[in-house]
Amino acid sequence: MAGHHLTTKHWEKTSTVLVAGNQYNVQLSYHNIKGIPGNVVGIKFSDDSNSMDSSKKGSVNGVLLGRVIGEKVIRMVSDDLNKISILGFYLLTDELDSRSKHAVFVKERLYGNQAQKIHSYVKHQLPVIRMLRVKGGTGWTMSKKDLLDEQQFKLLEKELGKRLEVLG
Amino acid sequence: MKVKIDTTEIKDLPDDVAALIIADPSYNDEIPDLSTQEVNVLVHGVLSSIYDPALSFEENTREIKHRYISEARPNKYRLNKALGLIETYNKNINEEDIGSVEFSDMFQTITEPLISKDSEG
Repeated sequence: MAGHHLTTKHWEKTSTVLVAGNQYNVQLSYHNIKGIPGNVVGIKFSDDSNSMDSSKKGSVNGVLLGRVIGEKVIRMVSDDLNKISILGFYLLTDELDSRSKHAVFVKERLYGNQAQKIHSYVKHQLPVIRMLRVKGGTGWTMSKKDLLDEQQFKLLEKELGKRLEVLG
Repeated sequence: MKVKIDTTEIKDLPDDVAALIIADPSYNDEIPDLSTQEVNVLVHGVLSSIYDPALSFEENTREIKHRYISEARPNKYRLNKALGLIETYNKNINEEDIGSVEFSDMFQTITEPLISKDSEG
């Protein structure tokens, strides 16, 4: 069964990057949320097999990897930025906690920095950047209107079915 | 701190700058006892967002330091903790591992939707 009655993912686009011979994917999914004009777009990252098994993958230089993926996100959203009201990505922190002791700490820092980097390229359209905490996850959003604006906040909270805590 | 901005040479990022990256004054959390590889991932991962390839390494070092110091006043306790982690990293890291990460060190692959089937309308 597809989606919630308030939201529809109506489009998705995936692009590939190559770093040191390894292939990675960046995916954008476009959603409509009733009450929010334009698209709410989620960003996801994966290696090309979408598999949990990374034994086939080689290690890569972290500076190159992060830069190439960040640049790909920026290029992908730039195509239709004027149709986006909220752009974001998130971590499932419960899952990270169970796998590695400090994975949440490290990844929250890395995702926060990526968010700042992406925001520097989209802030003319999406001026507000926020870090959100939900039960089991942390998200970063870039938006036209401040998520602290009551109506947007309530709509998103309702949509996600979770309490949101805005950190900054 | 020994870093690799690309896959070629090892550069020496001044420890006080690396400590600012780890301690990041815009956060107030306690810095955990990160392992050598976690320090490796954290510093290189942050550099991937803030390092400008159009500038020289030295120019980047100055810009990065200025960026953190102008944001907020660095907490000495957190900086010292970070310096300790860097010292351990410098002692323990193998040259071939400097800057080397797995995709899953830096990114989480998410397959399930954020919006669950059970969310109420």
